[in-house]
Amino acid sequence: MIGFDRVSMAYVHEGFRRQILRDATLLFEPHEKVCVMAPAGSGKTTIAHLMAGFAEPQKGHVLRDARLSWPIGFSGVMHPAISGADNVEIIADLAGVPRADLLAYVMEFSGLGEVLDHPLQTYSSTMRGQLATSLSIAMPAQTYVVDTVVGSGSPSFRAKAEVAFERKLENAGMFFITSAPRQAEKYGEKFYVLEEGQFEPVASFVAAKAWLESANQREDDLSFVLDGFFGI
Amino acid sequence: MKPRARLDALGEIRRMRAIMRREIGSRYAGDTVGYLWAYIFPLSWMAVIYLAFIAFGRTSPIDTDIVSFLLSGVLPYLGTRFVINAVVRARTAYRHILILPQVDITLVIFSIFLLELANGIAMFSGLLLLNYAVFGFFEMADPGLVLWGFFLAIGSGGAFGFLLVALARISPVIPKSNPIFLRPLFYISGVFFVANELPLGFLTAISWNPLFHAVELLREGMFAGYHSVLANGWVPVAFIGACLALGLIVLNAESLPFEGESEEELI
Repeated sequence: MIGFDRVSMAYVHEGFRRQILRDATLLFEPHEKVCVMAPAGSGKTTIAHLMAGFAEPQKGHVLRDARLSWPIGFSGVMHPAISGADNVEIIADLAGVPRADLLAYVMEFSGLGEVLDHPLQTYSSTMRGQLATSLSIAMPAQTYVVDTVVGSGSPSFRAKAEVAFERKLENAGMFFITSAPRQAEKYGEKFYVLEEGQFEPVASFVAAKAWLESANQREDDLSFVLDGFFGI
Repeated sequence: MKPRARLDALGEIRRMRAIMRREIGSRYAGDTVGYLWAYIFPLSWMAVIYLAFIAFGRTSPIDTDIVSFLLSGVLPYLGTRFVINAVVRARTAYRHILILPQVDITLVIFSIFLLELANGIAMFSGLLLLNYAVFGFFEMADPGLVLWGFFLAIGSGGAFGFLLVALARISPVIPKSNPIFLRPLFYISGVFFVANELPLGFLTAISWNPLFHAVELLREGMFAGYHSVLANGWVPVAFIGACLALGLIVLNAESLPFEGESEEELI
């Protein structure tokens, strides 16, 4: 089993304490396709980073006894001063993946061509997203971690990434935390919602979507009241 | 078992090369001179200390030229300083890479240590040859002992950096404290003096310093006839061993939280 075992996590932002997880548990098999619906601003990236292993919780344990990916499209594994191609080769060598195969796949899939020979810091955000997504999908994993959406970059590239990711899921599991119902429905098999720092199971995608809409509505209502109150 | 072990060894070497490639590609990036800064920086240190020596009218306390004497102290010190900084920097620079199951922090640090050692030896050799080409001086009585002294200096820095990285599990502030150790080290490591000219009380007070022992060993190997009253290779060896052992204990202690990306802003 992998996942969260009685995990608590909080952080302080601009003087406000924010509880992301509160003694939360969500355990699943590496091959399962788990989708957590969470409203915007609820700490999705923090939870995805916990799952990927970028951070450790303040309390509890995150079990990662499987080959987990980093969040799909995450570019932090690459160094900005190094060219895209060199970054890919370095990661291939570190991960024990055939270097030429990985680079060929990323070159073809990202469609960046000769741009890959330039330092990453010269890329536009779209190009960087395409490279990071291509690399994430190319890397072998038992369980893919997805933060919010699968794929970034141009619309046509995102569509291509969704198809490629779907194929990857034929032989892999997924931990997907999102506020995007369309992709959740497409990829998810087991659904949870993030409510008051806990992973609450729900029976179906429809129930998860209804809960998310309700949560977003509550958030909007609260914002409306606060805006009116403070005259913002 | 043997073919598998061989494959693992090859994999480790490939990963170490990848880490070194990442270091070389990323360091001093965005500059036309690029990685050459790794050599220009020590050269400028040497030039400044050489000029200060001349300005203050100091002479070499050993029977040799000023440049050879300064090289024997400045370069081991700089090598130690560079390796500590590089190792401490690795803690954050590789935090995302470390989720790969094949990569752990000890492999990253060891690779960086080897790169810094190679840089240091290349720099040392280059400056010795430059001194010969410009001033006609070349001192190298026992190359093996010089290499051993240099290795102990860089090794002390690498091991200390490793300990600081490990102690980050207790508090991320600890690795940031390395300047507190590095600044005084410049004045107590024999960079511009030798052990034999020190008053006994002061010598005793700083005899714990592993870098000073390494520098004095290097000088014994470099300068024929120089016998240090201090040089003892066991001091840096014990220091390296203690730092590595303590660092490994802390890194493997299960009860400590491992530092994470956003730990500093977490409650």
